[in-house]
Amino acid sequence: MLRKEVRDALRRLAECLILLVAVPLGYIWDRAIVHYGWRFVDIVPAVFTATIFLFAVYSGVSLFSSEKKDRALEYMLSLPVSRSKIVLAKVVPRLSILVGLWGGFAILAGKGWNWIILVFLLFLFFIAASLSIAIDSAVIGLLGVFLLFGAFDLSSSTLTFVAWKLGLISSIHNVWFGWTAAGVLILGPFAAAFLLVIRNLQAMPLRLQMRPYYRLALPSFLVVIFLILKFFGAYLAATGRLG
Amino acid sequence: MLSIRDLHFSYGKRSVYTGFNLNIPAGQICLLTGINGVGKSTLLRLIAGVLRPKKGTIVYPETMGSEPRRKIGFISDQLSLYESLTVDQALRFHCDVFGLDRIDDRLIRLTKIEGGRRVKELSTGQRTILHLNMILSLDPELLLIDEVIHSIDAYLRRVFLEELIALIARKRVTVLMANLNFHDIEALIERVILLKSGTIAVDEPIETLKKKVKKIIAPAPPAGLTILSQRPFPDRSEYYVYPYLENSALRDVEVVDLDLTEIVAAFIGGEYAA
Repeated sequence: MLRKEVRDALRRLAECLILLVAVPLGYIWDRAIVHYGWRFVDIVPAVFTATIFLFAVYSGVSLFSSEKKDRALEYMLSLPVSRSKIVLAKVVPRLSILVGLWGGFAILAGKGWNWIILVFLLFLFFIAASLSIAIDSAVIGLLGVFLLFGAFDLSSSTLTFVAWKLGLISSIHNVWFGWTAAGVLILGPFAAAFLLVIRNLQAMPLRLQMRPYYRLALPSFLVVIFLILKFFGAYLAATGRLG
Repeated sequence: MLSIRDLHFSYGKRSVYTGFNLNIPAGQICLLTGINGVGKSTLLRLIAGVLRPKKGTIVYPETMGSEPRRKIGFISDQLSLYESLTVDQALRFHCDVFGLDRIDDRLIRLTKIEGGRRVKELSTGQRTILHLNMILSLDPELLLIDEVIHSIDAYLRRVFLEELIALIARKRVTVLMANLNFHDIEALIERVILLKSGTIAVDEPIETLKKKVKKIIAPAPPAGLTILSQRPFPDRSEYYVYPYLENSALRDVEVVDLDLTEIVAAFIGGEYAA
């Protein structure tokens, strides 16, 4: 099973590497039209970074795509392998490639290990993986990840502001508080819903297995949206970012 | 003994089983039947472990060990496999997961299925044979076969049934088949289980059932017998009765023995007429 998942993960990587075509295109674009004086060494890191981020999201969103596309969910579940081992077999090769890409980039760039980027990549991967059950289309999955990430970003600022207003924290710029609170409110419920669905994964339409998402993730997501709508304007005003 | 106790299952809000119980002794060959949508395939999937009961337990024979799925051969009506793999890759994958050294691909060669073809390019019959080939390699103790036999051509059906009979003759394998067409398999079946609204409506050994279900051709409904279904004709009608009693004092009637297809049709016809 692991071998098949390694193959699948490599296929996803190959699909993402198509993005590298942007390197010569960017070079030609500069030479022929904009004349910014870009060199290959300027373009490659940006495109390679984008490729790694794309792989983080795409490999997460497509965690169950081969079972969906091949109508193999029933066969997979009839195998003498536990649900948790199935997920591990899927996650481990994808994460290994992701960490390898991050490490390879760090070595080639020669600027040391950027752990924040790694955490961010893992964060994107796990958001995407938590959506992989619910979403069939890779494009909608990518949009879903960016929507969730947007909600996470906005809510971390909003929650920091609310906590600062309530006197729970001393600084409105306490980034770690915002990230932690947004993580608990958004990522926590999504991760819990994902694990519950996986633990009880069955050979029936996935839409019938989404109850944990409706019960856990949706309410907290709506709370976050409400908080953003109510307080984000005030946060911008308080931090002088309005006008 | 395969034992299903207090089984509850639903698809979303649609309840299929509420407190279902069934025991199947080791080595018995059972037919599971009933109208479309009654839950035959669902029951097979629950036993195969691809669906999970909401409540209740399925206890497998001890001989199947702690991971019963190793000894379950499940051929579903969906013939689910990784379709983008080639036949050879699908076999290798199956070997890997089940820890087999190799799969005897005699059936695949016999039916001329090319190893380089993708599973999605195979016909229903070829996919059924591929499934059967994989399952036979497991040396299964429990065989679950969902309505696939009637959808394959006559030659492949014969191959399938011959292999099935050989397996049953070789070892005491328990078989549970869900089917609506019985001409080919009637000789194999020992017990008939008819499902109705998530419960067992009829559960009889096939010989007993054949004695108890009869077609009575008569001008009027036979008195004192329960009529499952009927087919009216201008002068006389056909009445399917259950249970038929040998000592029924019926006059001016013709009592006709039925084969399994007719028996099940009589029960199912009664359900549709109700």
